[in-house]
Amino acid sequence: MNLSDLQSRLVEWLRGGPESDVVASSRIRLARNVAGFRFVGRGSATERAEVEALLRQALMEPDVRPALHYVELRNLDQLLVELLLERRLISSQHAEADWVRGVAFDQAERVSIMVNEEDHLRMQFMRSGLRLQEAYEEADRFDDVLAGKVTYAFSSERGYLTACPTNVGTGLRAGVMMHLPGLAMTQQFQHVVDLAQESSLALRGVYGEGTQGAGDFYQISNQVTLGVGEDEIVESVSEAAGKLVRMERAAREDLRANHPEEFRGRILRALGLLSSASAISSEETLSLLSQVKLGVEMKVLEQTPLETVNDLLLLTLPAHLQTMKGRPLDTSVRNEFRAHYVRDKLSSG
Amino acid sequence: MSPKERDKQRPGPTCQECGEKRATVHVTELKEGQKLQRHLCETCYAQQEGPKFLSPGAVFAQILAAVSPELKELSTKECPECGLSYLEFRQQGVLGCEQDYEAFAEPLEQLLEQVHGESRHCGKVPPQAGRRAVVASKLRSLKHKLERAVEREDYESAARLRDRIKALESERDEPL
Ligand SMILES: [Zn+2]
Ligand SMILES: [Zn+2]
Repeated sequence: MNLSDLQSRLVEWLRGGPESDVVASSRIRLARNVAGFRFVGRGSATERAEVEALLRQALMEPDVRPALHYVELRNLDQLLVELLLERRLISSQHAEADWVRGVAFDQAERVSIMVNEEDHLRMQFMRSGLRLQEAYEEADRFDDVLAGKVTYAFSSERGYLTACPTNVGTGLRAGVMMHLPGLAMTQQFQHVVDLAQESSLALRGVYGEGTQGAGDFYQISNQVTLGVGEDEIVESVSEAAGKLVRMERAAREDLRANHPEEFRGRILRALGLLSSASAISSEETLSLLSQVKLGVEMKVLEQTPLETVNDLLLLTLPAHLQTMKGRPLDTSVRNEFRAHYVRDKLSSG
Repeated sequence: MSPKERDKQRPGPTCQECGEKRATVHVTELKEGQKLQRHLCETCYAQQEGPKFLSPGAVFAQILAAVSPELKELSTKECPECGLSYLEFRQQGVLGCEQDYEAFAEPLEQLLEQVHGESRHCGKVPPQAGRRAVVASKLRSLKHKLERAVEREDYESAARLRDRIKALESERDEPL
């Protein structure tokens, strides 16, 4: 497979699904280590290489379903590493590490298995829309298959042993990525923060650092991994996500009912800026596209197809843009190319 | 030097400072050009000795001891498998190997309670761990659920959970 071909393929989290007006995707992550080897951070070069070879071989066996494509990251072109990062197939920590490591993923990019991240295995299972339970079922099944091939570091008292004690026990992180522009616009974001805190969930922006996410994309996920069952974790995160969906929809209705002109004006202005800019940054594009997406979903904009907006959300990210162009571009050249590309796409629909 | 003071300096099983605990630290210091043997317990040694006796690590341990006495002992403890010290772990936030969960079991217990509100696993168990581990995890999980059912006064669920716990406990106690 030619990795740069990924660029033109849509990612799972933009494919739509249950509650996709608010929920982009549901993701399960399992952290596992192989017994008898030191954790990645403290392993020797030989030890890391041994673990990598062992896991690569296990992941390539024919009974591993779905079939995976394995990419070694250490000698991979930087632009392609960033492409994998933008597609959420790898974490930023995995992108930045300098030791032998890899990622295995399936054709649909719903499964991605990082090898030698902070733990020997970080396995991610993604579904578009709010389908955390379904994602967990796949994770559980996949984990069972792999447990038949390698011996996990596990203790009866502490569960699956991880490099960081914040992941120990189930090793499970259940996350839901949500688009919350309504709550952001109506100054109700504090309620979201409060809800996360009450349910001991973590809330963070998907793009950029901290809780102020560009493009109003946020992820809520569990923080506690020990002393609770997988079912309870999945249930509590799903439940909180469900509440947020209702809050976000109420906020959108409130905007439409009580501030119709202001609301319409904002969305038209965002579309106008995107259709006329001569240079535009990735972050500004995200925040304008966020409002256009809201406008399309609320039927304020009837001419713009949702697929176009979703495509743009991914394709205007720096590595995607550069892969499309076939080479690295300076920020200023990139911003011009981005503006040009967005204009084209929006006018052709 | 008075006979009394001389007596105090005689090597002995008890600490020269507090006169109570067993002296486990024996140091030689130079005082006014004279060699002086001192025999102290761990506590008095850490509390009273100046940095001139101590390695940088021990100085750090002393500072820690001033903040939190239990940290002093921990800071120097090392994992026999990967050589990570507890202090290094607290600086980096990541453990070195699976054995660290044993080597630092005590301090980790506290830490896990702080982070997760619990310190025992009650989720999935891999096949390698055997049936006993599966039952243990399941029992802990059911007991948590029972606690929560009682908290929210859901006595119907609580009764059902009690039955399941009983059944599982008798299964556990059966010979394998
Ligand atoms: Zn003493
Ligand atoms: Zn260790």
